[in-house]
Amino acid sequence: MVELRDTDDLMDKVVLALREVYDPEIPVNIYDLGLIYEIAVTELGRVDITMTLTSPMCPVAETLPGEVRNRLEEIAEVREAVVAVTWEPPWDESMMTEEARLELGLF
Amino acid sequence: MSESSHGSWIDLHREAMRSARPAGPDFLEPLRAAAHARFRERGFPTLRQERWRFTDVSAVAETAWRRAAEGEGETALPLEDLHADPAAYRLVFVNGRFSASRSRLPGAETSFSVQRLSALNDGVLEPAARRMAETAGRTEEPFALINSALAEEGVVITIPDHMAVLVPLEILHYVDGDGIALHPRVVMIVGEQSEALLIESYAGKNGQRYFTNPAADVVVGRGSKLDHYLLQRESASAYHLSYTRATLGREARYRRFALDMGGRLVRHDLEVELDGEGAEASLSGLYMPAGRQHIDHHTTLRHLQPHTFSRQLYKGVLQDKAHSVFNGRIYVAREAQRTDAIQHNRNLLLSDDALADSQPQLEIFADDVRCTHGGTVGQLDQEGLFYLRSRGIGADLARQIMVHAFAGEITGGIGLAPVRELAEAVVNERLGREE
Repeated sequence: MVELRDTDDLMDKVVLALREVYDPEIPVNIYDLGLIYEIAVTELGRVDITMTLTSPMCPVAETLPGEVRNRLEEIAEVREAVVAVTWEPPWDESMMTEEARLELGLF
Repeated sequence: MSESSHGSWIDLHREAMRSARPAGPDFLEPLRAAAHARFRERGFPTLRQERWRFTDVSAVAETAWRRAAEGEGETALPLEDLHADPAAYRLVFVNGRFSASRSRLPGAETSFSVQRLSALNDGVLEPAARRMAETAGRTEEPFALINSALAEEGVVITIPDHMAVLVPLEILHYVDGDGIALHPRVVMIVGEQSEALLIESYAGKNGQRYFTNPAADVVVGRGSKLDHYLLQRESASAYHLSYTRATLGREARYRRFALDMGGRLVRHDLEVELDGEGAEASLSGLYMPAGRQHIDHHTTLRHLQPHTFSRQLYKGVLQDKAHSVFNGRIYVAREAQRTDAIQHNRNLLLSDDALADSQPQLEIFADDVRCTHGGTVGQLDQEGLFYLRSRGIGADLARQIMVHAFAGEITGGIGLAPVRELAEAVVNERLGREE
């Protein structure tokens, strides 16, 4: 998990923004849920995200990546956000943070 | 050991490799030749050498190890049970050969790179090639030279700048075959302001006698973070001699955890260079040898720049006639003012025949530093045992509780939950077995 460095860092702002996005059926944000596999930022303000969804049948499969992109583009320093969806590795409950598992009562 | 036997099987391996079709990119061959020549000058270490006086490698030197045959071990069991993290990207090697069907590589969407050493093309991986050449040219470690001379396969991972890879990368080596030697290589280069998790896992079919000789080259760039897990669960008859060199840039953070359960004779040589202001290294290890297992950690921390920070905590639980060695060397360069280095090694002996050797070694050339070290060897606290037993807990369970508490200081600090759970399960299993 990304540990926050300092608030000026674009990576930190990206993580904070991702923590505000939810898969509508699950009361845990997509970052702590473990849907985000990679975050890459450039000094020119481009953000690349590789993410997955809880399953290919996920009802928000069409809308969630767009929502992520929109949320990231609200960050002042971000000029462009690109979201790619991957199925490798498939999402698994073990990818959730422990706080998220606790929240969902999975312990 | 006679002069003529020095490295005889290595010479044969070298010959076999040269006559085979070229394995891997062109840059490897001069590197192998140079490492081979340097190894031939020095030969295998003996008990007369200070750094090897507790660890006798004559059995490794005198065995005529062989390369695994093509396809050997293909039928090895499915290895899912050995996965440290079910959700990781995974590269699985059986008898040193890549097993595509057991692996799970990152998809084309990813912008970091994971490649096999044998499939690299020259040019693409210049930083990795340069790093390997540098290590081969300067290391004094005999088993690092053997690896450089004979490495045919390995994994090269490059993480670009400003990137967080949140899915762990796991490399699993499994051996199924008597008399096999393998020399796998890992090169992990993390750019600046990036993050990654690396799991190196070694295991083998129980009862098999083989020789694993891994080497890892790690570079953590400015402001980056790398967590590195080493899980050694070799066959109880295997030899495992590893070398790791990690170089940390400015404000880089490197965390490493090593779990040693298997192996007849195990030695890890670890060198960490804190080569940037504010660099941090946290190293921990847990080893639980039983029977006649021998486990040896030699760590060297080189504090080369000011304000560098290192923590080491290695703990051992020894049963039967097991022997452990810990040698921790801390070097502080003249420029490295405000170095903060702490090293601890604690050993718990569960039998009268077990033996733990612990040696700190400080070489400090700066005058404004904090360096402390401590080594302890002891038995289970009788008062603690009595306390538990007086509350109606049986003798075996009371011992297990005490050992758990001792090991828990290490396992509890493991950041990656699946690895932590695995370490705890392995500790339980080892304690359960002795009943």
